[in-house]
Amino acid sequence: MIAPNRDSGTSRSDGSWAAARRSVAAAFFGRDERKTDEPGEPPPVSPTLTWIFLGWALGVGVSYFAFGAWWSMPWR
Amino acid sequence: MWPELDSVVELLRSLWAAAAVFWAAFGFGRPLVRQLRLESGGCLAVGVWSIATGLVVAGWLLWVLAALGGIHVIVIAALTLVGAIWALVELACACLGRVARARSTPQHREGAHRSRWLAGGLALLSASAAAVLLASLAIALAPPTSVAVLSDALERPKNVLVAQGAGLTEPGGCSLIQTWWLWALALDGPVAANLVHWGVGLLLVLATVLLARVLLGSPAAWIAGGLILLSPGVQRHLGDAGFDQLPCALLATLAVLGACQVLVQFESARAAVAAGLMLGAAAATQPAGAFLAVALAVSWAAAVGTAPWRRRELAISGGALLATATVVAGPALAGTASWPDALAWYSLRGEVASLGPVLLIGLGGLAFARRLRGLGHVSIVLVAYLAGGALSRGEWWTAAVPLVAVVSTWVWIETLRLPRPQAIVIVGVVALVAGAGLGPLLEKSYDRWPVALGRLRRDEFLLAREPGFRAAALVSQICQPDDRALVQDASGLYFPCRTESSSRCWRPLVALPGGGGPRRLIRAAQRAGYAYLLLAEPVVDDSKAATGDRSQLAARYLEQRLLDRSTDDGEVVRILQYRFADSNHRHIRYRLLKLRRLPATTALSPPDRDVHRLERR
Repeated sequence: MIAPNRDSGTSRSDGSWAAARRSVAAAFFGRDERKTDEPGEPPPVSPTLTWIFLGWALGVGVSYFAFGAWWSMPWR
Repeated sequence: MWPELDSVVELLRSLWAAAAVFWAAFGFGRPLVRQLRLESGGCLAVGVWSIATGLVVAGWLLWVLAALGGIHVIVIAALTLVGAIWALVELACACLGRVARARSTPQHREGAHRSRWLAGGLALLSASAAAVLLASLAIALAPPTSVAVLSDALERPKNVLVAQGAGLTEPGGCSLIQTWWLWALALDGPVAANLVHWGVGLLLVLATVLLARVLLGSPAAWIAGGLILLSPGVQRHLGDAGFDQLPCALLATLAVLGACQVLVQFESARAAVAAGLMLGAAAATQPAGAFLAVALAVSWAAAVGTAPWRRRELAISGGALLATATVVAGPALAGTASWPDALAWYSLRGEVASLGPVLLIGLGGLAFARRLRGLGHVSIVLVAYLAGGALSRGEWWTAAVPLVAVVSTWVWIETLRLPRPQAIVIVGVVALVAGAGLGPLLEKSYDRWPVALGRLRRDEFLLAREPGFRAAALVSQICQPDDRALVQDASGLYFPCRTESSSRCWRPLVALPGGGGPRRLIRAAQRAGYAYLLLAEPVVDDSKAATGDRSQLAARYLEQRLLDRSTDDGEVVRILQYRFADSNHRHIRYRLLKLRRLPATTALSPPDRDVHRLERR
């Protein structure tokens, strides 16, 4: 279900290079939350964000049909 | 109705020429890719990096050839042959090496873990992507009729090819990317250039897959590649050759990929050199490349700030990237760049419309998406690029589309976390807008299918669609090698001689001090070396709507005042006249004039000197 990530801080080597990689991964956007949440299911999205995203998708879709796609349809 | 044999032969010849371009590019680029050790992504990475690198190398070779005056069809064909033979050697070595590895090591199947969700998404996207690719291929297999392509994008390489390299570095010359079209024009013609452009679009898709692999893994990366093809702007450009947007996006994507390999995958500075090569080639063509350089610098600085212990390593790789980009872009920037004209605030409306609703919806999902290692780098580059690119006049957005597609792919993976009813609504909206977006492309390809399938000859298609083609066909039978034509219509590409069909060359004729009389205008055109003049005049009295710019007004002025008085007075001879109904059912009268060449010793009158000075300027 979740795409594999080759360098997400679970390297089997124990050298300093691997430790540096883990540190960088944690420091720079690297706290790969998919790994921290495994092995369970990913956390659900909050209802507020869900409805905001739904509104955004509907808004973009309706705007596209109203101002873009309709006017370029072949039957126009 | 069966295809005609001549049409099939034409199609095969164009396909063969385009394949030869890519095959030779692979041969040129493969040794460099081996030295840069860009083979970690498997066969796909080797192929994409090799062809893109080879195109850049070949572009510079053609540039040097043109500077030396060595642009001949024979020379270009020999260059292609050398690249193709080298590619065969590389392929043979790769096959032998693969056989040896297969005997010694067991093979691991990558991407065995495929979820049902990803498989379903890939199936839907594959169907849409296949429709886009097929429709755009049909468009590419027909001769180009777009005004922008005929009058500027492909006309410039054609003029450089006809002039054997002369004028390459002048303002009306070729960019690095336009040398690729010149290559295809030399081997076959405009359709081969179309096909090379279509192939570059395919390379852009594959490069996006490679970029997404760094962050998302193999199966999901193909979603990013499919999302690229749902962008209306990419669909619009995919079939029409000559534009720089898709090639610039390919180079920019590979530059970001090389940077991500350094920043995210901790690869050596060799990947930075590859990124610099691509960044320099992009900057040599469009100001968008310079904005991308700034965006990469911001991302690099962020990486140094968050990982101080990598400061030395990042400084070395960043320096390698910058040095390579400067070396690659430098000569072209001195010749053809027009950045001062490009710096201006530009409306975002067209760019947002070109990006497309699917990618826009995906961007909105970043609010709930979890962190993903490496996504920060791509987001920083994207935001910095959009901020800088907003100052650029032109279609700078194309280079941002692959980055948006990668970000959107992660959002679509994250939609698994949404409640099922809301997720179904959102996916339904996306499917609807994606399907509706295919309409214009499918409609555009509808009348190209007979040509693409060989049921309609190209000249018949052009006679029906391209108003200036009839005059071009006549000129091709009577013109001399050093003739030049001044074409008011946008069909300069099909003239076999050097042509000027943009308003750039007409402006000096209009800007004569005190206005230009007909005879002076004719003499100015003659003195400038034009042997033919193609004039277009609306038959009905809607001249204001039909002739909106000064160049066309000047042409109408010249045509009405001069031709009605005398058409054969020793200076100008009308050799062809016909009418053509354009797509708005407006009749336009075309007149092809043969201008008598003036002797070189003729003294310039004061007004002619003004014309000559303005033209030189």
